[in-house]
Amino acid sequence: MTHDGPKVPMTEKEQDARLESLLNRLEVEKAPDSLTRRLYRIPAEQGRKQSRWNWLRFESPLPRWVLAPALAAVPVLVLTFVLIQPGQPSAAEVEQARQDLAVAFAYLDQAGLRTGEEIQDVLGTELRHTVKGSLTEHLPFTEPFRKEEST
Amino acid sequence: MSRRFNQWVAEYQNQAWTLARYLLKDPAEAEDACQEAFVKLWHNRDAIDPDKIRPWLMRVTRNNCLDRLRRRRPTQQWEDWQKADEGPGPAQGTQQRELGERLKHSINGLSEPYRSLVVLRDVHQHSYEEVANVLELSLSQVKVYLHRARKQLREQLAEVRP
Repeated sequence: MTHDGPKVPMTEKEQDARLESLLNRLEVEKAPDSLTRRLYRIPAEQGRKQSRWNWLRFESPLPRWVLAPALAAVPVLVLTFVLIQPGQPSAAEVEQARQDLAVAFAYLDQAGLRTGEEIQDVLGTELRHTVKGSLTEHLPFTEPFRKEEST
Repeated sequence: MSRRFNQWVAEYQNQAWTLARYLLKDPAEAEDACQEAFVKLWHNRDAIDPDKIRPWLMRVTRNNCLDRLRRRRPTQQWEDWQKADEGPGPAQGTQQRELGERLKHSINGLSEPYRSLVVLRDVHQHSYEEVANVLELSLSQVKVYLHRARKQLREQLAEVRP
């Protein structure tokens, strides 16, 4: 029969030392072979998966950093396009158009007057009489009728 | 590139596995979590600073494990699981091996982030800075939490007479 004797409680220092020694004995466990095999297969498996979807990937001879400014330029281009599109004219634009139209009408008036003067010069006063007076006065076959009327 | 990846596998698979085992307990799930972490490493291999591969991988492994635990357990169970394990009674054997098992069990019973802290610092022997990086904590938080975690372990082990 053995006698253990009274158990003396461990001091905090002793507890610390025991924990430290136990922790030091804990070791990193060796990964199972099945896991090791799975891990070494990753490059091949992931490579196959990637190649299956490669046709969806954007391939470009340009470096990748070019994509960032290119993508940033898209909204700028869209904005520019929207701004260039004709919209409501401003008040200044309306005023300018009105002035252009007045000039055009003034030009047309002048052209009309000039044309009238040219016609007058070419055809002389005969046409003026024709236009002003009775048409029958200037037609030869209406002469006997005119004389009868006068008598 | 794949040769470099294989070097990382050789170098870090045991650490990732140990962390996942402590966090998940279920070996099949721990394997899946490790594989997911390494797949992510493969996809991000060009973006990660080669000097920070290990903390990056540990962080991703831990996050994978925590995600799995959250998915696996409804809220209440997750909270219960986070609480310390009852563990084997103090009346169990006093052999060193048994003490070691008791310690492992106690570590498993720690709540987060204490458990990850102990595994990363005391099992993996990571530096305080690296642990802080993995767990996204400040250096002082790491020290304070680690102190609390060790205190809990010490108290649980105190129930076992040498």
